[in-house]
Amino acid sequence: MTSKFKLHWRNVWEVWDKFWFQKEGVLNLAWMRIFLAGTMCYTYFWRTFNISYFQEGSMLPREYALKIYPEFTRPPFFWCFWPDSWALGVHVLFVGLLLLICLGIANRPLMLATWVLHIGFIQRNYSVLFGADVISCLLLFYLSWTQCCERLRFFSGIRITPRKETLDILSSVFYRMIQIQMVIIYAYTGFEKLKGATWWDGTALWTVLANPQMTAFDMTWLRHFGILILAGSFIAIIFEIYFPVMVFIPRMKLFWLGLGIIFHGIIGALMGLMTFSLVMLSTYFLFLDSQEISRWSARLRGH
Amino acid sequence: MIISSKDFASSFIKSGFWASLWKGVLSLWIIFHVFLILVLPNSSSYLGRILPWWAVSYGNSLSLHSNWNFFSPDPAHSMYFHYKVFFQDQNQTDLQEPVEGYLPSYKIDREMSLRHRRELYEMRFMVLKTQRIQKFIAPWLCKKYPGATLLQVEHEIETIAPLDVAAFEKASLQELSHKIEFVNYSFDCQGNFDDVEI
Repeated sequence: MTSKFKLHWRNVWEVWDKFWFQKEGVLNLAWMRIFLAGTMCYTYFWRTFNISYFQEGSMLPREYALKIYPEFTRPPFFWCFWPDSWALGVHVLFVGLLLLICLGIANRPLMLATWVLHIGFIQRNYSVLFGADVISCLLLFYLSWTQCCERLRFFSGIRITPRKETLDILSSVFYRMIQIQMVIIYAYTGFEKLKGATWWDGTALWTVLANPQMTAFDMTWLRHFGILILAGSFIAIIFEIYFPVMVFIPRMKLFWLGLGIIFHGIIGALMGLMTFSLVMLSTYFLFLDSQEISRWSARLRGH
Repeated sequence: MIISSKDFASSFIKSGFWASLWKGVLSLWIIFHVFLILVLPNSSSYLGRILPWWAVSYGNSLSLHSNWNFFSPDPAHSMYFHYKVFFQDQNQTDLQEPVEGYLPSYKIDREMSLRHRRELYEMRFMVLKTQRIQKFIAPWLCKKYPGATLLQVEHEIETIAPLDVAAFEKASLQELSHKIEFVNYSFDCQGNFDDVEI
């Protein structure tokens, strides 16, 4: 009995250890970094022209920035340590740091500093947040703890230490944490939809696509193709709810990720939410096999 | 059933004491953090309610509390604030023509720029609690129009006809849509907005 228990414990630990602490994929992280930081760089470059949301003239005065959060979700402290009058300068710095990250000219402390600026802006005006803002904030936090700048650097001329091919323990943990965070986000978005009557009757997508505030093009012609609306609504729910399972089943993984690319591609193109789509898709690199990514990267470089 | 320290060490430690200790500490953090990722988006649940304050604070400081409810439970219909700003003297005589406007400023046109998106999201956030209209929108608009004395704000929703109706009726979607005026507030621009609880 005791020896069985010991064996069982050893197996559990080995599985845990392998899952959390021995993940490979320096290149996967590097590709995610380029996509995530690149998308953020674009999004926040344009936010520079809307900086008034974070300044004194904003509809939401600074003293209410944290008070508008529901009590349970209110952050314990305000990451936005700079005065409103500095918002533009800090924002330019933030975009500059994102560019450095995208190019791979960053390290963990610099990335964490960038995350602090990001969450500071998020807390300063919670009312104008996009889904992309919140998710990119979480992803940047996790990515900051990894060796995502080890590979695919724009400038690697001053490297002193040899190039690392394997991940250290911390990178492995945060690599997995991004995967876990993403599958939970997908599952929640699917489950939340199940609460809605229009999602159950298969017409929710119609309300979205016929809403001129939500779509980039006139999609009202779809009224004559109700079956497409029905199929789209149910596929969206099934895709989201089953994402956490399917991406960990090797046979189904590529199919599900492909479905995700189509799903986010359609959202991005039709609804003008391309930045959100790219933020979500940036994490797909972490679900791909590290050797597949290496082969793919080598092919891109022409090797 | 008790595992000897030697056995424990042999299964737990493979690459030295400090590496194992590090893995042990990280394992505790992983369990804690994943638990919060699972629970905090559903914070009104029993598990969410019984969480200790320090765990909630930790999660909130990292934005783990976000509700992942995109387009759910049901997608929203077109909506906007319609406001009218008056410039009157003490006898309520108009000193100049009232100004009308919308939030978002483009009302319901297809406008996909990031600025307009933020405007739309801001409006949707403000409409969730009526106090926010009084606390934030009213003073902001009064300040935007110097000399304003009175402000009227309406929250209007233009419904999207259900698919069944849209599919079988020949009328245009605009004709099938209904306009619902949800709230209609009047604010004295000289008044005190500080006392409003949010």
